[in-house]
Amino acid sequence: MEYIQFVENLVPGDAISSNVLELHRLFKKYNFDSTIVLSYADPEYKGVGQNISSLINTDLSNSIGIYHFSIHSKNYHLFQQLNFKIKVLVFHNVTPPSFFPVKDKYRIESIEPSMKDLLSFHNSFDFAIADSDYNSNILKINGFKKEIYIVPPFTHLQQKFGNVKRVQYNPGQILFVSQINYHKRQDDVIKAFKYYRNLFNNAATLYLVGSNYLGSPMSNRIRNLSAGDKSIILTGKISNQELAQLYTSSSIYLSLSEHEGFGVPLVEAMYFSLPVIAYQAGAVSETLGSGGIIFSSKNFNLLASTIHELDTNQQLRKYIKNNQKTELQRYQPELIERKLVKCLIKNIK
Amino acid sequence: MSKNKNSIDVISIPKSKDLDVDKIVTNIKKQANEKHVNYLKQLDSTKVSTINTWENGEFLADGWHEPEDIGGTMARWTKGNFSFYFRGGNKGTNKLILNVVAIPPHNQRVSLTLKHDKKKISRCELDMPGKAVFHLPDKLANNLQLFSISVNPKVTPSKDKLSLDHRELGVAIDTISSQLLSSKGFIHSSDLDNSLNSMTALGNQLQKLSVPDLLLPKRTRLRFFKSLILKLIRVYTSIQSAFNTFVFEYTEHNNHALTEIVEYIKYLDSQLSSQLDTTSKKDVADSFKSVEAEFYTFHQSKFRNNKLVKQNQQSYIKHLKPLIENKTQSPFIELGFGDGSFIKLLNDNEITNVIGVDINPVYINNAKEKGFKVVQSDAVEYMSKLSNPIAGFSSFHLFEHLRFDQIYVILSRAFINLENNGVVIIETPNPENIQTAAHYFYLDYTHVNPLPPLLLQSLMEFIGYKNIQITRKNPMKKYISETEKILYGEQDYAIIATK
Repeated sequence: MEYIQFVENLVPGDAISSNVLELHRLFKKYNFDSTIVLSYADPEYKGVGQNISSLINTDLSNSIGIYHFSIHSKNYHLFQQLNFKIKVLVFHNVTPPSFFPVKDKYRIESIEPSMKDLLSFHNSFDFAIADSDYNSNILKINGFKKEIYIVPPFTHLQQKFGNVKRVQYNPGQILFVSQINYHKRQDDVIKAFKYYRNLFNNAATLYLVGSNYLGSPMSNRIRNLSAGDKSIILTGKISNQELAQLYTSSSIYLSLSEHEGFGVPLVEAMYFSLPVIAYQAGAVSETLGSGGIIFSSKNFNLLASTIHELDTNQQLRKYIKNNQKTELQRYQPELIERKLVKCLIKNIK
Repeated sequence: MSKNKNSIDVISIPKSKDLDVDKIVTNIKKQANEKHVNYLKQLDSTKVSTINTWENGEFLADGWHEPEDIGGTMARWTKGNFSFYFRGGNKGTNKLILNVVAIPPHNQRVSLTLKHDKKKISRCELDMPGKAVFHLPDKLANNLQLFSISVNPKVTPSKDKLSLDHRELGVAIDTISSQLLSSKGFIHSSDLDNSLNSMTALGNQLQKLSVPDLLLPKRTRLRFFKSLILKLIRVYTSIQSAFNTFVFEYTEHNNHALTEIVEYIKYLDSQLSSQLDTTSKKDVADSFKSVEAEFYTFHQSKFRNNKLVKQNQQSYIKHLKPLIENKTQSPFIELGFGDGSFIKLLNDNEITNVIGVDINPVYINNAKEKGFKVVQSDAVEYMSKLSNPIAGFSSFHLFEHLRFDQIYVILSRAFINLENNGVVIIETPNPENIQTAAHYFYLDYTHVNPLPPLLLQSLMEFIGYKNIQITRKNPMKKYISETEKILYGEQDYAIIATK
């Protein structure tokens, strides 16, 4: 039996790509054939995947097709026509079009077709795996009536970051990790940071980690907001080691993102015992659990004051860190592997 | 997980036995408020109490959308309820004025209710964008306070199918102020306007009193008797009437004075705004000036073909033969020498006494390094002060940068000082080629006017030059007909003349 995974692209540092690779390893571990079909692979993953054309005219009646969905892919149409024994959807969610400007190229070319795909999933798949309860609900709302299993994505953090030397945190150092995009609301992070700096701590610093696509309106906005401000640092894409250093040296992880299907950086922050303040959007509160302070609306004065409290109140920090240890149990790779194997065995005999 | 959280609050910290979470939340809120108010007071003490909603976001509390361009004005839409920190004016004249630039699409009328500390203070209704004025009690004067305003009805355009806007909208505001501002942002004489109106009303009232019949309603019983009684009373009230007349005249007089003052203030306002406009034009010009030299060199390097220029210049040497043969001692002047290629050519051909004139310091420095004799000056200025005899002058692509009167000054001053066998060489773009005249001429934005060869010839004849020759140069391609000549003919021409 062969497992064939479909994904739009494989890029280092991308949560979905690493999940695909983890599954690839898992299938091999259990002595199954495993293939990855993709449209684009980063040079680092050259030779890992293959093009969909290699599957045409192949007998797939004994294979299982696993389709990872996070954005519309040209492969989806072909995938629907392939004759798999079982078709599985791994649903990583898609950012709704309302977060993007009406004439945005990405919205028109990728997001809007994705919403059409979403409505057709019930007829295309035998069952689904969702990252979070929130994602599972999104599927249900869009007419998916088959079985949905909730399995968090693999987070082999020990493997990803290696052994990291824990250092004393820098008070007033705030961190947010995500590619710069409309729904991630880095502009709000900067705003909250400026409030905090003005009201409480002149020496505060903000690190915004994540790729920044030059020329996009949001990217320009972030650039303008942080121009000439030495305490706001846009790092761009950085290595895992550098990221680990920032996680350990920061005082607070601040997420004001307005849409998250799961939120891997939140788990990473918890892994590094970095207290989190997050805006309740999508799956954020579900992923974070009791591992941080959650805001239900963006009141910037209160955010500034909460950052100050969490930065200085050692008792509160300790309490949140303890909670994080408990929450992290849910993301043990062994546990996730067991969940996944269980759901595959149940459905694939 | 979510069950053990304080779900009503904006902030939710997981509940714990060991830690008093509620106390922490209260503390956070207290701190937020205190620090924010202190910060604003500090800011507020340094500025007039006018808040631009798109600029002074610190003063805005809950219920505001991001700033945006609303009908050409930068402003913010509010939600149904919005609040802000504001410092009132002085006692007695304590007002809060919102400049509302838009109200939700389909509403005929919106009502704004101002609250302070959960108590209603005042209400204001608007049926179109404009100023919403609230009078504040004296106890709130000169002090930074948190005010909130609720808008009724609030609208979500997408729900009402008015547009695709998903936001809840109250009103759009650009400034919150304690003073009434004119459209240009200056303090406008609203009080004067008001008193002008009340004066006119008073005048009408007094006029009524002086004619008793006007005091009676139109339909009344026993009109004759009533009128008679009023007329009788008038005898007894003649002193009062005289006083009234005096007051009336006095009011009229004041009225005129006030009208003039209001007009004068409006005039000052418009003067000030036009002053501001010219300041901004100056700013625009200054900002280009700072990069102009750099741009010009960049632009020239892109479009000027140096090789072609040098080949061209070689052909002029034959016209200078009289100078070479006579071994004249007077200087030959090269106006606007640029990279100095023609000076070098002259030197190579035994004309050694050459003075280069240019205004560009970069060219001057380069020429000095090459050992040329140069003067940094404006060509017109240099030539107009010329008093010694010259052997001749040349100018390549300079005249098209000058006004016609300046060209006259150069040519006439040169003629006066020119030795008898002196030679003048002038090269400029040829507008007989339609592409040059209509397009390429304007590639250099410092060009003033194209000069037709016949015009220049006529001017030189008028001054007294002799042996005037026109040589057309650099055709775009070989042409066979007159039409082709107009399209593809010579792009430049030279005029060569003697005294």
